[in-house]
Amino acid sequence: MTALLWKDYRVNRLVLGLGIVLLLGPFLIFFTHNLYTGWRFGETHWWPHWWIFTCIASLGGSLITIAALGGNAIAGERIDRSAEFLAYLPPSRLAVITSKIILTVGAGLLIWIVNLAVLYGVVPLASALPNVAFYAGDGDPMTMIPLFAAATVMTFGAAWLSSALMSSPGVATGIGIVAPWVVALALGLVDYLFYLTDAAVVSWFKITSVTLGLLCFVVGTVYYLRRVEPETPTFHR
Amino acid sequence: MTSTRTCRPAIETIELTKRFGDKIAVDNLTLRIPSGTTFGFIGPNGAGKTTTIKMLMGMLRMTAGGARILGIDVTADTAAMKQRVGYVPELHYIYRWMRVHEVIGFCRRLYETWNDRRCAELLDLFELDTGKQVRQLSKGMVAKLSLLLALAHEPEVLILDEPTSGLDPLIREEFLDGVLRTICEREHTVLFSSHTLSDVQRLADTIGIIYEGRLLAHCPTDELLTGTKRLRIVLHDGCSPGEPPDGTIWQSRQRREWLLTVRGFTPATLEYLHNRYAVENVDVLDLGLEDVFKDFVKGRRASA
Repeated sequence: MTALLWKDYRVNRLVLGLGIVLLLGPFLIFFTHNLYTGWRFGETHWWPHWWIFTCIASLGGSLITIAALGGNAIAGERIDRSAEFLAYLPPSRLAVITSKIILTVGAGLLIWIVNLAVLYGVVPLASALPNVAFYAGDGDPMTMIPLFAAATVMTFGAAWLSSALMSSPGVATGIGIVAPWVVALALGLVDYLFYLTDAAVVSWFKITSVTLGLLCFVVGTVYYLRRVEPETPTFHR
Repeated sequence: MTSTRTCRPAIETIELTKRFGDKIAVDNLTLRIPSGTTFGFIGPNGAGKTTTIKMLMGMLRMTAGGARILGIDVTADTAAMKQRVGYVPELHYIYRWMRVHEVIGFCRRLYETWNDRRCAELLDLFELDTGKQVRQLSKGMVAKLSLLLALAHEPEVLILDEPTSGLDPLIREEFLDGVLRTICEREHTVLFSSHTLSDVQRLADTIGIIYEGRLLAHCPTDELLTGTKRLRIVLHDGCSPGEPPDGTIWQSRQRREWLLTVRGFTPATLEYLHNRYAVENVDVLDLGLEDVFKDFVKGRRASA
C-alpha cells in the first residue's frame, strides 16, 4: 500500500501543489494586503471579517483542488495508459482504489481541517468573539460552511465518477466543478416553479448535493472495481 | 528441463473464448503448456495472441471458458497469480515520469519474491542508467527495463507478448540473451509470442499457431519442422492434380506443377501420390518455421 500511496502522491503532485496554492493563497493575500495597509484594520472589528472571508475564499478555491484530485484519480492514469502497467502488477484493484481514496479524501480533509482550524481557532483568538458561531452577517460561516461542505461532496463525487468512466482528467475535473452549479440551477428552477423558502432551497441543496455526491462516489468506485483495464479489442489498436 | 514436462501444466486454457460484439477474437482455445517448457505462440496480426495473453493476465474479461496459471484460476485469484508471473507486453506503459530506480523501487515493494541481487545482475546485463527517467530511455531500453521488472521477482512463469517488436537487431539480441539466460538458469515456463519467427524457432520447445482465434497447430518445434515438408510435384502431360494426400495444409496448382505442404510427412505420402497420379518428378523440401507458418495460414484462408 505504501508503494501505491507514494505513486499516487507522485501522480497528483502538480494537483496537490495547486491545492496548496489555492488553500494558502487567500491567506497570503490577506497578510500581504494587511502588511501593505500597515495593519490598519488589525485591532478593530474588521479582523473576523477578514479571517472569515479568507477562509471562505480558501474553501471556494479548494473546490477546484477537490475536483482536480477526483478527476485525475483514475482518468489520469488511463490517459497515458500507465493504468495498463499497473494492471499487470500484483496489487488488486481494491488496493489500487483504496490508495487513491486515501490520497484524494485525505487531501480534501486536510484542506478542510486547515480552514476549520482557522475559523474556529484563529478567529476567536484574533478577535473579541469567543467563537466563530457568534459571528453573524452576510456570508456568515454557520451558513456558508455547510453549503461549501455539501458542494465539496458533490464536486468530488461527480469528478470521481467521471474519472472512473472516462479517460480525460480535464473533462472529469470540469464536470466536478460544474456539478454543484447544476444542482443549484435545478433547485433554482424548482424554487421558481414551487415558490420554496430560501431556507428550504439551502436545505435541499445540502441534502441533494451530499446524497448525489456520495452516490456518484460509490458508483464510480464499484465501476472501477468491476472494470477490467483495458477493455478494448487489441486488434483495433 | 524434461523432468518437469510431464507434470501439471503451468499454463492451461480450457475452451477459452473472447468476443468483442460480433467478432470472435479467441474461439474455444484449449491449450496446455507443461512446466519448464518454452511455448512459441505465433499467428498473424489480429489472430488472438494478445487477447489470449491479456485474458491470462487478468487484463481482459473472458466471454467463456477458463484459464489457470500454476494451478491458479486467473479470474479468481489474479493477485496471487501475478506474484508468480512475469509479463512483458508489446507496448510498455511504465510511468514515464519515474526514474529507473524509482520504477524498480516501486515494483520491488509490490512483489513478495523480489530478488535484489538478481535485479542488480540484470541492471548490469542490460546496462540501464538508473538515474534516467523512463521518458528519456530509448524504446529498446524501455523493453529491457520491462524485462528486468518481469524477471527480478523470479517468476515461475514468464509471458512475453511480442516483446521484441520494433527493436533493432542488436537490442533484440541482448533482449533474447536475457530471456535465454533466464530459461537456462532457472526452469521457467515461458510463453513467447512474436512475429519474429527466427526468435521463436530459437527459443521455443513447442509451437502453437493461432489464426482467427483458433489453434491450427500445437506441437513440439522439432516435430513441426521435421514433419512438415513442401512437395514440388511435376505430373505427366494430360494429368491434373486431384485429391491431395492426408495432412495437406496448403496447395498450389499450376498446370502440371503441384505444390503441396504436408504436415506429418512420411514415405507413405509419396506412395499415395505415385499410386494415384502419373508423377514425373517429386522434390521434397525442408521448410523453416516462417514457411510452415505462412502455409498454415494461407491454407486456412484458402479453405475458408
